[in-house]
Amino acid sequence: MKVKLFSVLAEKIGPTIDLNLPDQFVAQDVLDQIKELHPDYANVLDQSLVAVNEEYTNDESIKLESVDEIAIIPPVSGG
Amino acid sequence: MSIVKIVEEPIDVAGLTESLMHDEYGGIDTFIGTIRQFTDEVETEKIEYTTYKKMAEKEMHKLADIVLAKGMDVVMVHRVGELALGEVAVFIGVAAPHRAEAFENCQMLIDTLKKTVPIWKKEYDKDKIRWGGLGE
Repeated sequence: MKVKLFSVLAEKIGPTIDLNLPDQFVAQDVLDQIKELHPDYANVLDQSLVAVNEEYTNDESIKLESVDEIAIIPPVSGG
Repeated sequence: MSIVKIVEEPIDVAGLTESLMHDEYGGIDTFIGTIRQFTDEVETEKIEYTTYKKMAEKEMHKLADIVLAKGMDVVMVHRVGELALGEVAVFIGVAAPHRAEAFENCQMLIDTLKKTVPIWKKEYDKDKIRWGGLGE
């Protein structure tokens, strides 16, 4: 599954990252997998949220089959 | 008549303000966010904004809909790309029957946008680059 990255993560890691996600997972699993691959950005990932199909997720269980798009959202800073 | 979008070109402040003027509204409040040179000791040279555009516009529409449902008119426009000092990064406007609702809802929109809408700033300061929103 290609996961979209933005802001500092996109600049340092790339616009997407390929992850092997199980049939069912939670947002934290996604962040943990990226942390393992890129421990240097653990601090940013600890502050990030996960969006599925352009909606923020919390702790709910996510079915892989329902995911069209998944993205990591670092702390936003518009305005 | 609401306008909600992310743009790459300069924001037309006069045109957007004009779009909020209707006979039924007596109070229009606008917030214009620009690129500031100094934040305490730190001198900024330019800011580059990026976005997750589809999601950002969706989140902006959610906010605008709250205000539209109260019978007011709304403009929310954020610019992305590289912005120089003094350039307009964001324009928020609310037109309401009376001023109190216009002030209150305009402030709610900009305050919430800064917390929920996926837009990021990369600040090019004289001493170094800073990523907005991240604890140092």
